[in-house]
Amino acid sequence: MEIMQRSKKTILSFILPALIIYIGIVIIPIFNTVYYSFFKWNILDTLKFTGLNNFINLFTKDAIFIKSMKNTFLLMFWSLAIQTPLAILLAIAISGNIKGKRYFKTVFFLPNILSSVAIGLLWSFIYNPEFGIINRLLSSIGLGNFTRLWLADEKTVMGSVIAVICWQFVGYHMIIYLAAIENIPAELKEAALIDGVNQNKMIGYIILPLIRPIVGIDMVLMATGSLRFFDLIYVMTNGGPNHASEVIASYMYYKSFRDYQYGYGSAVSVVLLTLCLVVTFLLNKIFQTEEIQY
Amino acid sequence: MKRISVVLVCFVLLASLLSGCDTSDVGTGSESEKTKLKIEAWGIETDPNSRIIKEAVNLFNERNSNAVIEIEFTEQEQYKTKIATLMAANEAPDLFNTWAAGFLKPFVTSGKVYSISDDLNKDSWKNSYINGIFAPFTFDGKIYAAPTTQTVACLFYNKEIFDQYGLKAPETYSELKNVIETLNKNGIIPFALGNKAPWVGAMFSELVANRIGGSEPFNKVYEGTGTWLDPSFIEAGRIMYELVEMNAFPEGFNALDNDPAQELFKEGKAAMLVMGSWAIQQLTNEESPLKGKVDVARFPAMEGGKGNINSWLGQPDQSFAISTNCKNKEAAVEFLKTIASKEIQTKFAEAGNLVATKITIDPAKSNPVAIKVAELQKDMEELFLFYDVALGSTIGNEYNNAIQAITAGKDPEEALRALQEFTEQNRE
Repeated sequence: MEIMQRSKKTILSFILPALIIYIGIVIIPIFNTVYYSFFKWNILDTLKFTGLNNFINLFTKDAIFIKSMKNTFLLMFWSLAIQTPLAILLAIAISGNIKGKRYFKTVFFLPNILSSVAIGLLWSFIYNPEFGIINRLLSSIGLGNFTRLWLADEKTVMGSVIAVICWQFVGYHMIIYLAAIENIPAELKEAALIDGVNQNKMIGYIILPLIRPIVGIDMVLMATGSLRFFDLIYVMTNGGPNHASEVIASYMYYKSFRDYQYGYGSAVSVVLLTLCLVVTFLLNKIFQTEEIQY
Repeated sequence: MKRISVVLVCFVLLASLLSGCDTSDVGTGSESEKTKLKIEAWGIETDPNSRIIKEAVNLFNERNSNAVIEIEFTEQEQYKTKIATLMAANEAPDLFNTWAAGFLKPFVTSGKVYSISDDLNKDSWKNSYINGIFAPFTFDGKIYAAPTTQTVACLFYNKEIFDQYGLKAPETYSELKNVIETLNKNGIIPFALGNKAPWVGAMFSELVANRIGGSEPFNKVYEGTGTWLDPSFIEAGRIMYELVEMNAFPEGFNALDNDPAQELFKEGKAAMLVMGSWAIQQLTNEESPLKGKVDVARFPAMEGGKGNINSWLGQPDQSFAISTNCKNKEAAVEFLKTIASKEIQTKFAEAGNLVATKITIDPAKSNPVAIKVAELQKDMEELFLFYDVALGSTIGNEYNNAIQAITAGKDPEEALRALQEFTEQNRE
């Protein structure tokens, strides 16, 4: 073992295969994409260099891109605003010694193990204005006025999709917080109890401060995940109606693979990459704390 | 010792891999006197039309001594991506299925497609086709593909329901409005329209726009000399919304898929359907409750409109083009002629298609609805293309989206202005 660690060649020989694959399918394509974003290219003709034109068009002329960017931020904001507190609350609720703990854990986590396509179809049925349960339920309890064409109405589509996304992912984040909470040493809690701390203060002074770094990491995961969100949108709405649920990732997909505007699509993905980096950086700044030592 | 055995096993595996390649090489070598031609086609192998195309391939392979054809089918949406990728990688198949106008254009301009103009003019082959059908395959005066069938948008209606309420197929917009009112009074949905995929409503609006303003406004948009803000498009948008307000479409039609909408028509819950002629087979097959009850009419005229009731919206369909890489162009042209031959075209007609060539169909063997369409089409003065076919998918889809937004209540002028901006930015 020692010999292996000492010899850099041995280490390299273990890392190299994975590194080569990683460079080949992640790093190089990223640089390629940045390169293509300065061109006009429909994959058939030769590349035409257009400088920053793609980017200028994106931000000054392309109303659909602006709309998709708004939707993306909307999605990110609501994901963070709904999922973070909800996931922490759920985690705290089931971290105690409650009855049926494993049952709840499984139930909340369940949506996560389903494929997004299945979830998309499932919720398309739930939202279906004819036979979906939401509209049926509303009209059966006399709230027929509140029935909507959930996924076909420009006003409700984004909200409907965000609700599904939160439902799908809240369990995942709950598990992360649950692990963090259960990692807090029992001595700390015991000491607090001896000092006469009640349940609310326990949460406020012990649990939340101690899981703060995890909250930071989790929010980065959540934010970047929502920024590049694609699958449910693709399955449930295709970005429609009339681009009302278009997000940056779906717009990039349509521009590149349906309209064959690869240069333009690349520019969209460069913007997306930059956004992800900026958001990660900002969130890291906000949650920058010293390493916790128990 | 162990190490040696491992090396040996590796060697044997490698050798077997290589030999695998070898045998396949030998396989192609043995048929070297015949050129192998590859066709990429869209559709599913078991579709009725795909079967007929396969029959044509077999027929060709039996008769032709210079070439042997191999055909591969891919589902339509995937086909679009596949063919674009193959073209880009310079691995175009010898022959390939293509849509007219917008889809074919980029391939032609980048020099990937062989022009069949000269071959068409030889032995008056071109005259066997319906007049004017080559227009959407013509770029700079040269023709680049030959169609197999054609599809047109038809107004289908349920004869039984119409008879029951003493209605007849509407010929003008005001007659149509009366029909809609009567149907609504009797609890029957006037049009089975499922606009979740927005091309369905867009197709409807294209007919309305053409009846109002004729083909000129659209042709001007196509050439870049006119805009979507032409009064005829705005008026068409207004009429689409008027129809929505009259409850001419099912409740929640913007959330309704096309197939379930078509079911409404089949089950007799809706009385009319504006759909491409491709629906004829589904509407009239043995299992359909509508069998024998469907009739078809021309889309009604608009009062005071410039459009002609004998203009049909549609496209030449399942067309084949030859790529410039094709190893044996003569044989490829021969295959196009096989497709256009009387025996293959008759099979297409009997399967309920409208064919691309001038053949006479035996009414006993063919679908009565298809025959009725063919009869109506005898007076056809013009075939104008589906907008998303003519303009290509980028601008075409945006038109479809704009119409969907209008039917959901957006102001037509505002929607069309946004579409115009989009069109200017995305024009090639």
